[in-house]
Parts: sequence; structure tokens; C-alpha cells
Amino acid sequence: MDCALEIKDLSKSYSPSGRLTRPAPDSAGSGGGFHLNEVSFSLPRGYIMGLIGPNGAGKTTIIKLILNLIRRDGGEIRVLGLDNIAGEMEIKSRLGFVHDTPFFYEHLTLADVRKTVAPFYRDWDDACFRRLAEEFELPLGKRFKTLSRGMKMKFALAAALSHKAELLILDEPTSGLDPVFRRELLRKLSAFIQDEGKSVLFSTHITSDLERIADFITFIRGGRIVFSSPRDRILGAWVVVKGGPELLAAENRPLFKGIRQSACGVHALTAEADEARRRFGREAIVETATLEDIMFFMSKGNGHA
Amino acid sequence: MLKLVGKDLLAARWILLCGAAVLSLYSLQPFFSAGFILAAGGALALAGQATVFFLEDRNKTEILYLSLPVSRASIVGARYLLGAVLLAAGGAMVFGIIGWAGALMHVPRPAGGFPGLLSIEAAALFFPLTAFFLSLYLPFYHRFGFGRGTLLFTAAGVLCAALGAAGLKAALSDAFASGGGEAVIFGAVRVLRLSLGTPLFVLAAAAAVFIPFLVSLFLSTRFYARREF
Repeated sequence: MDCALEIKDLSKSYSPSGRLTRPAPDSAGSGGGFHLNEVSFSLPRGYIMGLIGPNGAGKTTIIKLILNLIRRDGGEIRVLGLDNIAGEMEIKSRLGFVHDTPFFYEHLTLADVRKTVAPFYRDWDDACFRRLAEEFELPLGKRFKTLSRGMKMKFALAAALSHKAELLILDEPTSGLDPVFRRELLRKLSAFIQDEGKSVLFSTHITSDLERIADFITFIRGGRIVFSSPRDRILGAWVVVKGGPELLAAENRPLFKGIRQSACGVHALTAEADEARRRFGREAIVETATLEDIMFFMSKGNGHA
Repeated sequence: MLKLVGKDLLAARWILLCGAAVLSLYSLQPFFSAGFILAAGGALALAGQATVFFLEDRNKTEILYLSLPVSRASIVGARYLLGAVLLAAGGAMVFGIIGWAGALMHVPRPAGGFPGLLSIEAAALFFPLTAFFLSLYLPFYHRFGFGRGTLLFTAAGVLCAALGAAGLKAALSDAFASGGGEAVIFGAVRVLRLSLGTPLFVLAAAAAVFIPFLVSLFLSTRFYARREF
């Protein structure tokens, strides 16, 4: 299979004093440090992959490793068929990147900011940039710092889309944005991959966005991959069982990946939808799990209440 | 590298121009000695470099440029090229605008044994000393980043200046007893020039500019290659 991105056995550790990553208590930290453990997944060309996980799970670390902003301890990263270190320049000229916070010179006008980015890309298409700027209603004469977060993101996206990128990497691009812009962004991404050679890796914890557009979902927790599969397969296999305390019977527990108990009853997550329907179909409600359900149930320890 | 220098100058152009204009106009006043103007020109080159780094740090654009098709070695090289540009600009301002305009306008300077701005001795002091401090700053910046790097450089710079002054004072104690510091330093440079001959003296001054720059570039490249962002 022709892959836009292949990651094999990727590892990275930070010491407890590491300044770059501050893992959340439920994240990859052990003893205060951070460990990305033999992470492997691949994104075929022409598809959108959502990279999900709780804060501090390792999403941004993976993206930084792909971009060679930090050094890997082990494993392999191939982007567009090239090793991400040996082919760094070639890869970065064919890659578009949008950070969670756009890092541009805030005191410059958008027209000047364009001048600080465009010359670095051999395939920069100024006509495309101007068309996108018009479509996004970007005021090129205004200073970057005067724009709203949404407009800043639009500018970053316009810049990332204006050099014929084959792979777009977005790190939490929708966090803090209103639903109108989020829909607009998702529409733009869907249009981007209409050209089948193009792919998107989209890191987010707003999972509803991914349910709309992602073809593949990679879920990372505590520095480890929980799953990396086609979205439809995930949404077909994972269900939430809602019932009474009898669900917690010892013979049922191995079936569940996560359990939440409240005054209203027991909610349990399983990746074996058919088995759950067979066992509990009559005595409990079995609902298709959303990505948010999966993240929620699996975000604490081993997932069991 | 030129593109990187270009974006730095674009981002900092108004601040750099304002600094240069203020210093030029201020330094045309007659009460500043040539030694003061040389020091101010050097400080302007250093402050220009620090301003570019400050803007980069405040806007976190380093991460942006590391995500673009630009190698780390190019980023480091561009910072040295920018240092050279600022050194040349500082020199052009001191010897060109202030020195030349001052001479043209007959701006009187406190002499103190100093032959004036438009002299080989003045150039031989300005360029190597400014280059030395730029060369000192950049490895600290590449190893520790803007905040800690600038702080440590300031401490190291003050230490170097104090050691240099103490060394000179010890070596030229008789001369210091009979005249002001500026005149003594200048006198020593003049003696060196006369003893080496002008061509060799100029060559030595050029080496004093380039050798620290190259050593510093080597160190910075190594430090920056190991940095994580």
C-alpha cells in the first residue's frame, strides 16, 4: 500500500525534568517522565487520519517527531516514502503544517507575513494563496495580532494549502474555534483530499469533527497506541452497554474496556459489539459508541472503574 | 540563508531603523568622544541581533521555520550572516554617517589622544571587538534560547570586558597613569600598527574578526543540532 505516513516502533522518552512535555496525570508519564512506547501506524495516501487522545497522551510529541523538531530514541518514520531525517528538506517542501497556535510575526500585516513564508517553498502558488485569502475573507492589510483566533487559523491554513502540499498535518486546529469555522475547515480538508494523492493527519480531542471526515482513527493514550483502524470499523465494533449492576458480574468484566458506575446504573464500553448484543441484548441497552465515548471510558488507567 | 536574513530584517526593520536613526542623530552631538561612538555602534549591532531574537522568541517563529523546508544549519548560518550584516551596518553608521557627516559638519570631538573616528585604528577596534561580542552571544543563544542565553551572554560579556580592562591596565600601567583610558587603548593600537606595518595590521584585524566568528559558528551549529523544540 502506498502510504503518505508510516510510523514503526517509534519511541521517545523525556526525563522528569524534560521541559518540552508536561504529561497529564493520566498520560504517558511514569515517575514524572514521559514515554512514547513503540508507536506504529500508517496513513495511506488519499485519506484523512484523526489522531486522538487525552491531553498529554503524546499526540503533539508524535507530530514533533514527524517534523524532526525533537529527536526520536528509536523506531522509524517515513513521510511520503522518505525517511523523515534523511529526506527532511524534501519532505518539508511537500508537507503543509498547521500548529495549534499559529506562529507568525504578530506585528506584521498578513501581506508581510506571507513574504516571510512564501520564499521558502519552491512550489509556492501565489494565485492559490490569493484565492484562498479571498475565500477566507482574510484582510491582507491588517496586522496578524489584530485577527481573531479563527482568522489566524484560516491564514495558517491558506499558507499550508498554497504550496501544493501532499500531506497536511494539523495539530489541534479546531480547539477554541466556533462551530461555523470548524465546519468550514472540515469542508476544506475534504476538498483537499479530493485529489487522491493528498492526505491529512489531524490531531484533535474534538472527536465529533473526526466522525464527520476521518477515514482512519488512531487513538493514543499514555504514549501507547490503543488502536489505529478505519473509522467505520471502529464505530461498528465499539459499543456502550447501559444497564444495571448485573453487568458487573465477574464473567462479563473481561469483555469491557471501561466501566462507569453511577446512581443511574452502569455504562460499560466494549470493542466486541456482536458479543455484547448477544449477551445483553435483552437486559440492557447496547448503543454504538462515539469516539468521545471511547476516549472518555479509556482515559483513566486501564479503563475499569 | 538570504531568505532567512530577509525575513528577519523585514520583521525587525522599523525597530532597527529607529535605533540607527536615534543613535546617528544623537551621536552627531559634539560632546561624545569617538570612543563612545564606537562603543555605541557596536552596542547597536548587538542590540539589533538581540531584537531579532526577541521577536523570534516572542512570536515563537522558530518552530514555524523549523517546520519549513529549512535545515537547522541554514538557520544557524543565517543568524551569523545577519550578525555580519549588522556589524557592517554598525560600521557603516559609525564610520560613514557619524564619522563622515561629523567631519563634514566640523563637529568637534573631545580628542583625548584619539585620532578620530575616520582612522584605521578606530576600525581595528570597532570590528574585532563587536565581532567578538556577537561571536560570544550566538553560542549562548543557540544552546540556551533567548532568555537564558541573553542573560548568560550578558554575564559572560561583562566578565570578558572586565578581564580585558584589567589585563590592559596591568600591561599598560605606566601609560594609564599619564592619560585617560581611551587615549591609552588607542595608543596601544597605534603602537601595534606601527610595529606590524599597516598591511599586516589590517590582516591581523581581519583575522580577529573572522576567527572568533568561525569558532562561534562551529559551536552554535553543534548546539543547535541537539536542541529540541
